[in-house]
Amino acid sequence: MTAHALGSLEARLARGETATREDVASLCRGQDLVSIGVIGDLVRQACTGTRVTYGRVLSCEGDVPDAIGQAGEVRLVGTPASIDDARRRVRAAVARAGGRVVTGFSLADLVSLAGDDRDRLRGVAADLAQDGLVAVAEVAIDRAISDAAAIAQVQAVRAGGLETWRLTIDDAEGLDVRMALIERARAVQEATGAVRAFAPLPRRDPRGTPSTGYDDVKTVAAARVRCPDIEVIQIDWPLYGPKLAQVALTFGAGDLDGISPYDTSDLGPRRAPVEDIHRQIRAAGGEPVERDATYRPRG
Amino acid sequence: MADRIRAGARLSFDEAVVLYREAPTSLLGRLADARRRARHPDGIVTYIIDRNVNYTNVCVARCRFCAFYRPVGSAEGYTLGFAEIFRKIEETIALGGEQLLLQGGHNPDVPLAWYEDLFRQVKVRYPAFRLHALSPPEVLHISRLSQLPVPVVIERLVAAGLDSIPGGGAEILVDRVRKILHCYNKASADEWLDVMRHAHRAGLRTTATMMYGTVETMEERLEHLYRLRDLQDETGGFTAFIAWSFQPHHTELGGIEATGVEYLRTLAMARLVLDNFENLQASWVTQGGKVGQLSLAYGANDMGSVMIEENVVRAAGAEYCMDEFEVVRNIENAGFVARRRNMHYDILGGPIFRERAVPRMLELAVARADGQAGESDDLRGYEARSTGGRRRRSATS
Ligand code: SF4
Repeated sequence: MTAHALGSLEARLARGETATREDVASLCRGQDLVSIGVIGDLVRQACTGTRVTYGRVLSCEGDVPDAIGQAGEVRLVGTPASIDDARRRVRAAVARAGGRVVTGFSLADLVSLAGDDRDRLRGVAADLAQDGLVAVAEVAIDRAISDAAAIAQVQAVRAGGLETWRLTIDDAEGLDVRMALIERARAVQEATGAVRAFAPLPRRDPRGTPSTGYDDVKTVAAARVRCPDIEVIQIDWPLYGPKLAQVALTFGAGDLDGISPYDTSDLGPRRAPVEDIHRQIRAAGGEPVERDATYRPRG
Repeated sequence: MADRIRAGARLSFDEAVVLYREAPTSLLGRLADARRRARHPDGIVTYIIDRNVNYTNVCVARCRFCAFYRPVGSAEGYTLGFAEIFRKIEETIALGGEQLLLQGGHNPDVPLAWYEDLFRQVKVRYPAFRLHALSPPEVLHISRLSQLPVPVVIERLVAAGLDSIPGGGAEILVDRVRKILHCYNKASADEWLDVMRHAHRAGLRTTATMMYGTVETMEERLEHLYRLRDLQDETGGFTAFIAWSFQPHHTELGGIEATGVEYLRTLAMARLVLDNFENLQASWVTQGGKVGQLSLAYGANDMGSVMIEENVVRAAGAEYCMDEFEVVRNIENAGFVARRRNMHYDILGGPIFRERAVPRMLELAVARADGQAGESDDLRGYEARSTGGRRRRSATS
């Protein structure tokens, strides 16, 4: 994208217009990274002002521990062995969560437990909701075979009474694949209005050829610009690390997920206590606000 | 002010303070990127294949920010032998490297003659191999140990084979800060600059560094940059500038590390203030590969070293690793042309791994494996200054 085209896109966005798919594709082909950041940040500010939210999450592979700390969300992770196993875990978690919102599982795993049958999926969602699950923790949109399938799955679990606030991506190698998934996120939100956060950076990164910093911040900016109807673009703090996660806040991200529920400093740099999260957000020019699992301010 | 900078005007100290404090990160990035492009319009981003060898971790300086050193007499202290260093050189050459970055603690039991013998033997065995060695505080330490003036020490080291001097030990070139960090005695700001002045006068090229994020103010960081700019105006001897953030883990000083955004802002400021420096390196070793790559949009034009070995920042918690394949992939992904260079920033060619198979490297080597401390036998023939060192050597001779 030429400097002139960048300038005119900036002006259009400032007037409240939405960037087209072609705008974003040409933006990401360009190498003027700082300008890409300016555009991502412009849309972020229009969406959420200077506010940057963060969520303290207790992720549980097994049983919920006694020490819940300051978690605003108890999240059940891992693939359940069966529907009964999922229900048992939810009931046990709700009993120990002390009133915190319990979310859990990946939508793709629930789809597969339901034998890829929409009606059964709705039934599974209804059972889990009855047990106390509030939302599916991860709607990994790359695991649906098409935009239509992703939309239908979201609609089915919502019909069963579960929320689908958080879109994620498991695997996406290369910017083109990422851009296509951003379009899918946009389509899901247009069709359902069910999404509050979108984490566009893949949860798995090949160790031999990890994604690059350029590709990551371009992805964040593109997601922000193309999905103005989704409240926040989210970065997983422990997964991406404090440096990239913080820089992403200047490229359009507005939410940090996976912050430790414990107020100790001995958890290493990727499990920073909350004061450090505040410092990082402020150093990136944002105003920190803690949120709960529903993406509403806590307390 | 931004327009004046875009027009190439020199930044005054007061202007720099305002920019550093108040300018949005995107504006700093845009200005620094424009300056980088003006200096390097060819779109080339360079890197070097070398090995950062720390020949000893025994040190009397005891800087409060350092997690690497061991005091004299420590059971964990080590000094490498010549044979170990030669083996490291051979491994470096096998990976396409042509230089050793050789730095170490201020060990009272390693005299000038040891360095001279080492350098001579390296040059005899590997004539084309280059020695980028001994930061200014080490040169000063050797000068004090041998009771010879700095210019004489430099002259003797150059005669033995020293090719260039790394800019380590600068930290922040403000004595208030150096006193708090316990690094004033190893070299005051003036002394550090003076060693560099002598080196430049002796025809050596050197780099300059800044370690920020300890106890200094923003103004003191800028004072550091202006002192470097002044010396560069005087001698023109610096080839490059490298900034990195203090790595607090396992250090006496402790605390928290400066953020990634702060790094990019500081780098951009360095590009704007150091208008007489050709090259700015990205510190991916401390910032990680991803923010290291982003540095290329905030003023950096060099990805530094494909490091085969690193010991100092690793001791303080940073453990990032990129081999040549990875460095080149990052440069090209950012839209630049990757070129291999030497310490003088002469272009040597394209990536080696495209010409021949070199093993992928996903972990950095260390000077010595854990638990393998001690000094090598070939130090026996040299004079020791510490009481323990003298006793040890007389017992084994
Ligand atoms: S930084 Fe260098 S001089 Fe200071 S204590 Fe560590 S090894 Fe010694």
